[in-house]
Amino acid sequence: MDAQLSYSASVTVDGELREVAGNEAIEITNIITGSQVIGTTYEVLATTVIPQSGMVLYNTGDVDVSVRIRLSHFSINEYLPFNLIAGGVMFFPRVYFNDEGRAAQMEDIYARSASGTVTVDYCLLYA
Amino acid sequence: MTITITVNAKGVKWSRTASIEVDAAQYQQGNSGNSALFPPEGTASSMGIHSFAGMAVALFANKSKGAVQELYFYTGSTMTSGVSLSTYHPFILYAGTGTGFSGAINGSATDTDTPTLDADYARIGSFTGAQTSQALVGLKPIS
Repeated sequence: MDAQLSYSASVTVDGELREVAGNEAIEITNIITGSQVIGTTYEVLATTVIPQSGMVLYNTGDVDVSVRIRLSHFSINEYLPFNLIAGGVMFFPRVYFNDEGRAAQMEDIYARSASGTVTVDYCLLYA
Repeated sequence: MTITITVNAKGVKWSRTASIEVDAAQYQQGNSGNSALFPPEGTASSMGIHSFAGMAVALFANKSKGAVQELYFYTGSTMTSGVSLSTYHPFILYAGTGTGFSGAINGSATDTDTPTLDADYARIGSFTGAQTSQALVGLKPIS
């Protein structure tokens, strides 16, 4: 089965619309959506089985969420935190690079809030 | 700047939208390997592109069918992290907006770290296939 992944970013500056948009069919075996309440300590986000095709996360709260990707491959054991700001939406693919440009797959994904509790909506795409 | 991601599959439609206030924006298309999709402040200022210290929000997209691209983020002149973009896939970055963490990214061996570094600069190159890519960067003072 195919999933259609569509995205757009647009802004109007001085009356001129600027936009980047796209649409891609991704072959998947399953799609899982849901929500998770997280606190100020890193915890596993959404799943312990990382989707091969990626995941989309949305921060429903009023404070930022740190989404921490762990890379583990040969001698790499590193963490890449990204800021999923309040009201922000992000697509997370499977493969990342560390600060030496070495590639590794995401081994797990954890998240924590900046303060209090936050609900994160997720959409997981399994190959 | 408005960013929307929608997934349609198996009778499920999942869509979320983010709205971020910005002062200016930069659109850029890269057609060659190792394109600076968001040049560093000094270079951008001398080119008359912008004079902002880094990205407030950005969407980068691989626009080449069948290609895999490498997207790298820098803080100052130091590479911090990167992402592999499959065909037509996007990646989005946000700087801290004053509602929690101060930066957009980080990269370390410490599992308690949070995003405290600004993304000052981005570069994209082709891993396999063609090299067309696009970026829309929202700008405002971030630090």
